[in-house]
Amino acid sequence: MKRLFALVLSLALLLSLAPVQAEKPFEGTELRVLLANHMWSNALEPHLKEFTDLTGIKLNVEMYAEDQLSQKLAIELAGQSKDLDVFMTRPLQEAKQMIANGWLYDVTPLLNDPEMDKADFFEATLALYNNGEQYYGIPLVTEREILYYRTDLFEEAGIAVPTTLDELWAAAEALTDVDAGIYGIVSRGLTAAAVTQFSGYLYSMGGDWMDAEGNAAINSPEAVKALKFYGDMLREFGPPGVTAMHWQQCAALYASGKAAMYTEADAIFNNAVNAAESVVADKTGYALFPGDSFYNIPSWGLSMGAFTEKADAATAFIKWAAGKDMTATLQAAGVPGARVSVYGIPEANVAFPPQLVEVIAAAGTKNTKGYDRPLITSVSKARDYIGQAIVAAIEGGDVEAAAEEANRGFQSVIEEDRAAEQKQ
Amino acid sequence: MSRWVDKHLKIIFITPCLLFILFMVVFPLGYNIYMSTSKWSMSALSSPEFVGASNYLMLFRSPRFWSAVGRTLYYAFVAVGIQTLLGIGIAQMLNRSFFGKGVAKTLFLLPVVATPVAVGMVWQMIYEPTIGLGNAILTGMGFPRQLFLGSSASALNALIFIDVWEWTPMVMLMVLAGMVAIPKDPYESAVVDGATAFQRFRYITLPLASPTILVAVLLRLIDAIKTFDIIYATTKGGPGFATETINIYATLATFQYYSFGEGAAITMCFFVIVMSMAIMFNAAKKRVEVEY
Repeated sequence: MKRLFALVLSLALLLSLAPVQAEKPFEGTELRVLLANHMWSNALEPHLKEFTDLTGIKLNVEMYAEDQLSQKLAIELAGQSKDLDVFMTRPLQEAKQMIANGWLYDVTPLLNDPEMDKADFFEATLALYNNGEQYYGIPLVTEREILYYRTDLFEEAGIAVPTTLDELWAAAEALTDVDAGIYGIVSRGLTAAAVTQFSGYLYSMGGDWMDAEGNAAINSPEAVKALKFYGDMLREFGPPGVTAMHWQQCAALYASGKAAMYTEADAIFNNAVNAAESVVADKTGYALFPGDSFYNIPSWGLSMGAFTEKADAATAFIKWAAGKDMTATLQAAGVPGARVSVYGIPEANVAFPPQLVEVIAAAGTKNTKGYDRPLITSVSKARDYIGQAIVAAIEGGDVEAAAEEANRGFQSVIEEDRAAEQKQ
Repeated sequence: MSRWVDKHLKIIFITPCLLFILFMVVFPLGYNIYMSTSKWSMSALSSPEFVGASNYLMLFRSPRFWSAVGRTLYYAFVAVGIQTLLGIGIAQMLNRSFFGKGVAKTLFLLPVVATPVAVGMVWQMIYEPTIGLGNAILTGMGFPRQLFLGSSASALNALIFIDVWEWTPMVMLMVLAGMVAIPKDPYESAVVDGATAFQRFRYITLPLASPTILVAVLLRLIDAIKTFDIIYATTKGGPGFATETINIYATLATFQYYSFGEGAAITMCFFVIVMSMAIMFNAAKKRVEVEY
């Protein structure tokens, strides 16, 4: 009897162990995950524990502002760090150079996993992580430049929401009331950071970063016109010191009720509108960028370090974090995802103000561009040069001369890139 | 064994120091020189390619580089100039006994012990043109609003102001130490001879404290040229390139543009500037060393 009891007990023990082992194949594994301080990360954070419960993987998450993240990644990847497992990358910013440097892990097998449903991603978003053969990242967040506006101020003044740049100018002029501390419009003015939000103005004026031959075109008549428009508008109707403002400062200013309009990526609407300290949450309207063309891009994705020793666990994490369910969950918390299917799920879109959902949907039918900055490898350097012209325009300098100079700098970056590519 | 130790005592004692210099100074410097003659995007797939002096030639032809050099020197000399004048003035004020001297000295020292990055962030808020404390005080006193860091015309000077605020106490403290060390008798005979307070300061304090002042100035100068934290925490070189010093440019080139060779070449030029400062420092120190 005793022996039987022992046998049953040990069998029971074995049985109870077996499923645990099957369910938590990574028990005891630790993953180092580097995230940008972004809406997506903030929305994901409360769910991280679920992943640990599910797989047994302990996550060591570090969060940095985007520039710091980019710098930290460069340092660690240049040192071929083995304990850099998963991190966020910007497909339009550093990803291209990282792929060329061999810093990113090939995630093609993960993408071909039927559960990931490759076809569900917006095609343009995936293309940016592709080097012709392999994929090196999974897109997470998409962004469009939109117009945030104060419904109360527009009603008071009795003007319509602008749909063209001329109307935008007129509205900014009408709504500026410096004595009351209200500026007609705010948009990024900080050198390189301003480039992406300037893009809508550039595209709408008929300009682009580069011409058909891939040469710098920031000195074209259209580009100069756009620079002048953006610069004059922000100088006359924007807040003082706008040339020092990144999106964090712009969003804070808008959230404090000091700006009537704000052109910015829709993805940061939580910071501008829903932030705890925002006084404009119930007074904000959303509209398409008031121009003929603007960007519709993937802004962030997840990649793996090429030198990671925990590729399986890292893959499991990405599969979970960028999977359909989590994308829907995060979109429900207000993060515009990169999966087509999620926009069709009503529950996934509850966090967006209905008007914003309409704007995002309408953006898909417009003449949008899949980039908000030049599509080259050395984007960062190019942005610094283009940003010079934007700052000069805002400060009221000689825009033609500044555009010429920026164009020379930008062209030299393009040529350096070409030389580097030829060598490879 | 002990005989061997006795015989080689000299070598044994300097070995740790030599090793330290070898690993922490000679190797990094040598590696940096090597990097500055190569072209490399830190790629894991291809190794650095030797390009000779082309990184340097590119820099010397680049207006951006020369502006950064100019800005670095302007920043350092103006900031340290103001700090020296203020530092000597405050030291003179504190160089006598009065009630609460200890407290005053401690309060003056507070900026020095603050973390530069935190200092930068606080000043960024003070300088906020719309809602910041800076403009609130200025307009309250009847002055026009300023853009501070928000304009390429004023950003560098606004940064210099932070540097002055943070480091004047340091200069003051060093100068004060020099003043305290001056013996009392020259002052006593000067008073007997009817010298005014200004004359005593001009002809006794200043000459006798000058070695310490010079040391303070040169130390600060080297430090100010190296300033990175405050600038990075506030403007990161902007607006435009208005506050881009050599250090900021090198950081951007290396970690934002992924061009290691360019970054290394910039730091080599920077090394030459700092090194010449240090040589000047040594030469000057020898010349002004005085006997009381």
